[in-house]
Amino acid sequence: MQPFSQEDDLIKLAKKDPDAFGELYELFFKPVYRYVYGQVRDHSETQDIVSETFIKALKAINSYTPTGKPFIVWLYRIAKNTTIDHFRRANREVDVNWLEIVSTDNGLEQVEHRYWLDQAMQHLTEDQQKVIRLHYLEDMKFKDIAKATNRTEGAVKAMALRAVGRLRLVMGKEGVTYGA
Amino acid sequence: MEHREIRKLLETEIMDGPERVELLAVEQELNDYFKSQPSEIFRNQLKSHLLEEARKYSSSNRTGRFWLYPAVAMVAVAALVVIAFIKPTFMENLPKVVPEQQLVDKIADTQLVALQEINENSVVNEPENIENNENIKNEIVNESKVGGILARVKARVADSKSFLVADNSGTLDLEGKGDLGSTETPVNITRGNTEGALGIMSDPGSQAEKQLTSSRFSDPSRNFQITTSSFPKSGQVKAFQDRGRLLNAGDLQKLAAIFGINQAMVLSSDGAEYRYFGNSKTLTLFNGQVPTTVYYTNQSTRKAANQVNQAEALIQARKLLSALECFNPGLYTLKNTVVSSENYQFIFYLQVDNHPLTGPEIRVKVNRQSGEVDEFYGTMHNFEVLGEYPLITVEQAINKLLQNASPAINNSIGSDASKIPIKPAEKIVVEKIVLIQDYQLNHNREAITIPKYQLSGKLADGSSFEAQVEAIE
Repeated sequence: MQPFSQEDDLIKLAKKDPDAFGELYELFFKPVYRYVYGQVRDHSETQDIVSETFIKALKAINSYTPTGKPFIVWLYRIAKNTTIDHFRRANREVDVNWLEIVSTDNGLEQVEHRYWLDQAMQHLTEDQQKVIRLHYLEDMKFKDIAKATNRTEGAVKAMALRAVGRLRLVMGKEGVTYGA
Repeated sequence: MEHREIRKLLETEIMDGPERVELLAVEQELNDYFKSQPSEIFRNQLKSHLLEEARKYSSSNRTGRFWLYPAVAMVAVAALVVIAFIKPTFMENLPKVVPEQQLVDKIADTQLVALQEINENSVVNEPENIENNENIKNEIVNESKVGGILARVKARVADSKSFLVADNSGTLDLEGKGDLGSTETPVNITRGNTEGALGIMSDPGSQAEKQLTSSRFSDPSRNFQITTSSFPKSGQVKAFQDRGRLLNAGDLQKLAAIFGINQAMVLSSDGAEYRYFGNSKTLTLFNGQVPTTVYYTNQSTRKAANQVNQAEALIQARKLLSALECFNPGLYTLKNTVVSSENYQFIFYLQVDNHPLTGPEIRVKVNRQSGEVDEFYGTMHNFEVLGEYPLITVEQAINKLLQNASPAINNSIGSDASKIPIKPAEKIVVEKIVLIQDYQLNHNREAITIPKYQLSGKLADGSSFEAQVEAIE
C-alpha cells in the first residue's frame, strides 16, 4: 500500500470543496513540515515557510494537474521555492541540492519511511513509546527516564532496544529496508 | 545537547553486521522524526487559517461565475416558451412557486395529520413500547465509555417527558440541562465549581487547614515532575460564555433540510424538544437550552453498491459539519475514529480560540455501505468573550491545586474516574500538558469556558492519571 493512496480522490474534491483541502492538509502537513525543517533547522522559521507553502498550494490547487508523480512532489516544489525566497529575503545561503533531493525517488523513499515510522510507532507498547518519546523529544538520558518512570536504568535500556527492534520489524513488513 | 544514548547502546550491544546497520538506520530515522516534530498548536492554527482562506477563495470563485446563472436561466425560459407553444397543457402541469410564508403555513396545516402518522408509525413514544424504552434505558447502564453520550441522548429520546438523564456514573440531572456532551465530566458539570468540574477536589476548607496543607506541599516540584516542554509558558487567554443558540422555525427547517428531511415534516414540540421525521430519518432537537443538542438517526435501507472507504466517509462527515457551520461556527478537529463492520464513527471536538473545548463532543457515524450519515450527535454554541486573562505558569497552577485542603487528582480519564488524594511525598510524572477551554456550568447555571491546563501522565505505581487545573488566577 502506498502511504497516500487516497490523495487522488481528495485532490479532486479539494478543487471544489474547501473542507477537502483541510483533509489534504492533514495528510501532507507533517511531511511538508519535516521537509522544510530538515533544511531550516528552526521551528519558528519552518512555521513561516510552511504557512506560506500551504497558502500558495491552496491558491494553485485548481491549476494542479497530475503528472504521474505523487502530489507531495508538487507540494515539495512549492515548499522548496518558498524556502529559497525566504532565505534570499534574509540574505542567507540555502543548500539547493538538498532541497532538490526530494524530487528524486530517493527523496520519496524518505517520505515513505517517515510515514511507515509514524505507523510503526503505534505498534509499540505504551511504555516503549514513552521511553522513545522521553529520549528523543525531551532529550532525557536513560537514568532520568528510569527515575521518571520508576524503573531501573537497565530496564529502560532493554525497553529502548526492544522498541527499536520492533520498529525495524514492523517497518520491514511494509517493505521498508535499509541497505547494508 | 543531544544524548542519543539509544544509538550508543546499539553501537555497543549489536554486533551482527546487517542487523546493526538496519537498527542504526531506524535509530537515525527516529532521531530525525522527533527533531522535526511540529507543534500541535501551530498545526491547528494553520489549519483554521487555511480553511478560512479556502472558503473565501471558494466563494470568490463562485461569485466570478455568476454571469452563468442568468444565462442558463434565459436558455431555460426560452426552452419553456417553445415547449408551451407546441403543447399548451404543459404549463398547467408545472409546479407552482409557493412563497416562503405560504410554505410555512402549509407545513403548519399538515402537522396534525402528520402527528397522527407518527403516532401510528413511531416506535419512540408509544405506550406499548415502554418495554422498548426500558430496554434502551438498560442499554445505557451497559454502554461503554465511548457510547456513553449517545446512550444518554437515547435516554432522553426514550423518556422525553421527564427529561431524566442517567449517565454511566449514576448521576441524575433532573432539570435536563446538564452535561450532554461528555462522558469525561458527567458529575461535575452541574456543580458550578470550576475546579471540581474537572475532577480536582476543590473543598475550600478552613484557613487553618489551608495553612497546614500549604506547608505539607511547600515544594510542588517534589510531587510533580514535568517531563514535557510542549505547552504554553506565558501569554493571554480568553474565557467565554455560551449564550446559547435558540433556533426559530425557519432555522429548524433549514437544519432538518441539512439532514435530508425535506418532505412535509412534523414538529412535535414537548417543552423545548422538537422532532422531525421523514424517510426513516429522525431528527431530535433540544432547543432553548444551553447548549442546544442535536441528535439524528437514519435507519433507511442501505445499498451495498456504494461502499466507501474511510477517507470518503470522513469527507462525508466533514461535509455535514461544514453545512452545520452556519449554526455552529468553529473549527472541528478530529479526535478519534472508531471503525466497526457497519460504520465509521468520527469523534470531533470544537476548538474555541484555538484550544480544544472539553466536554461537548460531536459524533458522526457514516455507513460503510451507503456512505450516508447514520447517526449524528452534537451540541450548538454561541460563544461570547467573557474576558482576557494572563496565563499563570503550570507550576503556579499545580501550586494552586496543592493549596486545596484535600488535593486530589483523577486516577484515570473518563466517567469511571475516581479521585485519589495526593500524598505529600508522592511522585507524579506529568507527561503531557494541553491548554484547554473547559466547558461547564457555573453556580448561576451559566455555561462558561475556563482556560485550564490538562495534565496527564503516571502516578508512582505506574497507573494513569488526568488532572485539570485552572490556567488563570
